[in-house]
Amino acid sequence: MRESYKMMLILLIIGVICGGLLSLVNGVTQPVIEARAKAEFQEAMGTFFPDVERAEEEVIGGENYYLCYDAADQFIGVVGNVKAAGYGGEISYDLAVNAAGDIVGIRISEHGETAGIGDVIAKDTFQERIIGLNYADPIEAGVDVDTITGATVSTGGMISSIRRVMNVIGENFL
Amino acid sequence: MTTLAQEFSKGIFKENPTFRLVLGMCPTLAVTLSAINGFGMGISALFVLVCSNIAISALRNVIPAKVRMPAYILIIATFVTIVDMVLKAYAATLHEALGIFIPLIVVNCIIMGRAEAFARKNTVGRSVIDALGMGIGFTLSLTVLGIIREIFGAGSIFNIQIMGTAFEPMGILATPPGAFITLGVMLGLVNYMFKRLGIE
Repeated sequence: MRESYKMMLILLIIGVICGGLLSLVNGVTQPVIEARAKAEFQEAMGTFFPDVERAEEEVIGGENYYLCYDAADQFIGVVGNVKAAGYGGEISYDLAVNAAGDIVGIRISEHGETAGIGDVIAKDTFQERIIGLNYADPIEAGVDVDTITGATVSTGGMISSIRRVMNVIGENFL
Repeated sequence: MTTLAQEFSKGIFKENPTFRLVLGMCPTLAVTLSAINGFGMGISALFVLVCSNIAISALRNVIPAKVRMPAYILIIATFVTIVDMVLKAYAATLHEALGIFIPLIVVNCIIMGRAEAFARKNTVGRSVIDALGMGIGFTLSLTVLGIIREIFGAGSIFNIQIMGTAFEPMGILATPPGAFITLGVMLGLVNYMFKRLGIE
């Protein structure tokens, strides 16, 4: 009986030391990670809308939308921090739409698509099919945007997700 | 008693974890898409291996045999989480490329294997040498596999384009089947070479 108490105690001590060590490291790295994610997003926003001066955050359906304003406080567009269903799980991406309802930019921030096949969604081959589309366009696979052979699930998932996001943006912000 | 030099070199040649023991195959196959990814994975595993070997050999008389597995897992998981957080903060692109395989170092059989087979029976000094040898052996193997797959699969090496524009990349080497093919060919070559050189 005493032996098992001793075992529990030793495991407990190791656990406490490990936990302490982790919270220490986390304290150092967490601010760096947050700052980097923010800087990355702001950089992306800057490339979508070079004139952006400030952004207002709005949460719709658990996803973040940033309303961008220029120096004269004129509404210039929306950047959605949104998700699509891919072949290898969720795809996180940013979609930028200007005040006229045109898609001006797309940036894949995280995905698990197959290297060499589905990861085409992060490349120009696919993205140039998306940029320039308008809210009023059908944005439907096979109608005005084609999926890419071999990557039908990845690109089709992106296209239907973009339609959904465009609806959210159109109904709420434009 | 083996000498320290033998203790070190066995991880690179005689008991190379990838080409001789064929351990830790999941990260080997999955991350060797490019030289830098293979190298990064190897270094991450090397760091965890050295730290966990130090901790486990230092505590070898403290940890009761019956609960040694949970204790090892706790210790290894701690160091892996540290690597995960540090990479995420300071080497974001590498962290993104290695993805799920960083947390999975916890169950990497090379690290558990060294803890169980070596660190718990040897002094701290010898355990560090053992970990360095094994870790460097693993890093070298992964880097070599990464270099091969990157040269033929993308025409570059450490992200520097070396093949001319006329070179058509062999897409298959960048896919999972390409990982198996490269590993198989290298396993055969390395073992043939070792045999010829008399390293058994």
